[in-house]
Amino acid sequence: MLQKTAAVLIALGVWQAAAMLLDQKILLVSPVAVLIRLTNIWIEEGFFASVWFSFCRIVAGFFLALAAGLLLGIVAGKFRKVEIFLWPFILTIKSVPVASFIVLALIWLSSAKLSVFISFLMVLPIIYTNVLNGIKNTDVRMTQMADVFQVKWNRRLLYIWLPQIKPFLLSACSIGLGLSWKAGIAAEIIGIPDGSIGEALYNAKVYFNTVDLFSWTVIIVVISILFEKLFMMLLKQMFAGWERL
Amino acid sequence: MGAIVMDIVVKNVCKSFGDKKVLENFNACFSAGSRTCIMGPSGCGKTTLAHILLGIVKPDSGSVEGILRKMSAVFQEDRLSEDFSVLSNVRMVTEKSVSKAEIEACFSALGLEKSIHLPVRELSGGMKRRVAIARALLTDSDLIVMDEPFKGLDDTTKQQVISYIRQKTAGKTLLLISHDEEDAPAFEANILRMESIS
Repeated sequence: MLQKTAAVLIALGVWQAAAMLLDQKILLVSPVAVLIRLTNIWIEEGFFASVWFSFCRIVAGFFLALAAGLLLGIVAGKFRKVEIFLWPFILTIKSVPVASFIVLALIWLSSAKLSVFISFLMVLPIIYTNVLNGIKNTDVRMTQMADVFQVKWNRRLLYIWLPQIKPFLLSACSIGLGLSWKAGIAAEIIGIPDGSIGEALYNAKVYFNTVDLFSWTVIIVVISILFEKLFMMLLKQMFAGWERL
Repeated sequence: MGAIVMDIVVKNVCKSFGDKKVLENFNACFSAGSRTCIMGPSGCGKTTLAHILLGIVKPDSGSVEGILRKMSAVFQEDRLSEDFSVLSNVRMVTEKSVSKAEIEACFSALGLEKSIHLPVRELSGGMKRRVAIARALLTDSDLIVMDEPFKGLDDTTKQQVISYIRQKTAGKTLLLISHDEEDAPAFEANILRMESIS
């Protein structure tokens, strides 16, 4: 912990030194200037509304992807034909650049719904692939045991499949949460929905307000990390609760 | 009306894994409600035979007749869900009609009463074995296959477990795979000796 704190302090020191050497506020603001801006940005009108707007949509996209990825991953893991059927769709989502999807989605959807769709699209293949791998890695001996004892599917899900996919799902959620914020905010910057964090970032770019650009970035990172920590804690507790059943 | 329990007849069963022949024209008959102790050297096909009877492995040729629908097993490995409690592992396979009192009585007879809520991963090898035995005994079954069930049990515990298994499997078809010559008389079981295919 001490070493990590020292590393952060050194990084901040390098950033401060670089900003002082460059002395161009448009190109690089100092961490001190960002810190000062952060102390007053949150009292500005519409700050919490912007954060809430983006948070709700990005998190909704993540949860939709989690539900769909879990369901499709389990079904594809059990039925090879479903896996083959889904393969071109998942491969396309994985391969196509996020910017292409954003532009295409702008034609289909309103800009307000864009971040939900893009977050969903970027997280879905991660959850799906990990759940599928988890199901495929299910211990065949446990499956044989369940067959001999004629264990019902809901008990197989709870006692055999979920423990097997647990590490895969935890890893997928951790990666997916970070990606949902990156993709969701990128979608908002292109779609510029009113009252979103993306709009605030876009305005900062248009007006060369680098200090706001950095401040909003810090806010996004903090919210993303806090939500990830909270969600992962709840998910681990949920698994622990199941195991205590 | 209860299900008709039939003899299990194994006819000319052959099974190979790659080039290795494990069973060749194997024949046996297990009478309904009998106890049979299957003995033989390592690699002679005892576990393969058990797996064929349980439907896990398909024979290359030959047939098994009279196989029962309700089966339970103690596998060579424990095959328990390590993260879940002892009780959950049993609840996973038992019908809802099996009462908590019945489960607790079984755990108590097998010396597991203090471990009921512990995760399986925290148990010793011998305790895990007894959980696997409890799981097989608490399942409503007509055929019980036990593959080296006493692995890791000390003599005192083993005698206690044998006595309980005998009590719980009365009237059921029991196949016991063992290397211990004393197990067959302890179960008053028929002996089926298998030989390795040279």
